[in-house]
Amino acid sequence: MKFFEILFILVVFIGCSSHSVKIYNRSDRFIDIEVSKEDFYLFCADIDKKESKSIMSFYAIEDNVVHEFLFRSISKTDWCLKLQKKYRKLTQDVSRIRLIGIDPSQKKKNTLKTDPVPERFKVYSYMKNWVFIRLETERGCKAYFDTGCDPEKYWGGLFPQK
Amino acid sequence: MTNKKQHPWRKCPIGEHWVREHERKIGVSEKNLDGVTIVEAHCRKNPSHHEIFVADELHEIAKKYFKNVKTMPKADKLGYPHGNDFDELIGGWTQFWNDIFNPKEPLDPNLIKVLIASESSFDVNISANSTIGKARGLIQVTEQTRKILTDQDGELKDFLITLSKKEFYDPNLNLAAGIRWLFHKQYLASHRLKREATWMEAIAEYKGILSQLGKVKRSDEIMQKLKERYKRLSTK
Repeated sequence: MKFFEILFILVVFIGCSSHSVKIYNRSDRFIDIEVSKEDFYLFCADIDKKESKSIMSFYAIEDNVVHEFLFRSISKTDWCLKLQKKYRKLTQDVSRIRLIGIDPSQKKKNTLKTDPVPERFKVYSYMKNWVFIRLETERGCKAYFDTGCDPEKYWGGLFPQK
Repeated sequence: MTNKKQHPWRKCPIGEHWVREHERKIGVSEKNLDGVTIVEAHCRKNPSHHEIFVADELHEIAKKYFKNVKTMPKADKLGYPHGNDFDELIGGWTQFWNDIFNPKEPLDPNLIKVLIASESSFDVNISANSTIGKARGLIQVTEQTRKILTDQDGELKDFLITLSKKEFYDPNLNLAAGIRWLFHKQYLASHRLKREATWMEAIAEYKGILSQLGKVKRSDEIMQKLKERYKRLSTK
């Protein structure tokens, strides 16, 4: 019985850990957040069929808030979809995803109800919008700017750079 | 409508452009044993009749005239360590292009400052890939834009800027070109809207989202942040 008790505790602990949020760093203008795969999503949002434009966007759930990280600029949809593929490759077969963003909006009502995102992202009351800096997983790092994964660019422009 | 009188800050008269001092290869002779002569900087007639700017002249203009610019952006870093580093360049090039194009509503240098914050977070050496080629420097001028700014047979009627890819990382050159490009975007936005576009609409056109405003929430979100920052800089 003791073995099964220990096993049960371990399973619960691992289950909780994989869903837990880790905040590496946070200020009123910066967030470095890691979430489980289940609490993460990315896609080319706002696909405009007429002008063939869309914007790369990323989502992470923390408590009852959905953090939305947006690219600084819109792009052609086929370009965005290529990027989407590259970012999804980084998040394949990993359990944790880390996102860095700056310059948030005020916390506001969740507006994802009409978006093609998994249902679990629609149920939370609030969302907060950030400027996307980079995404990291155990498979690598990819950023908006070419040098965005360099350690000296960690703060995304908010702190003195070398 | 452009103001086709020669701008007092320009080195050359209308119809001519500045050629920097450079070396020219000539035959080896007693006078030129190494076969190279120095051509002094001069104004060269421009057969295309476009006004053309090159790096040397843009640097000369900034060096000579920007310390006494009339309207500077507000000295507010917007939370970025380098937020005030380019105020003189922003003020100078905004005044220059306002003088050239003489818009009904002059471009406010504060708008350029918030655009830089949005595009690059004031990082001079930054680049990003985009659908229309690499975007470089403070105002993230794309490769496609760089080519258009140089193209004497292209969509710009006048006031071309000829710069290399590397030169776009220079903040002075980047802003000279980027602000000139913004004036073109204002012209395009006005055409699209069939009325004089506001500068905020010109910025939306610069970001490729003018047609989405009021319809696409994430585009509105991007512009909302810009407007909030602009409001902050506009408040005394």
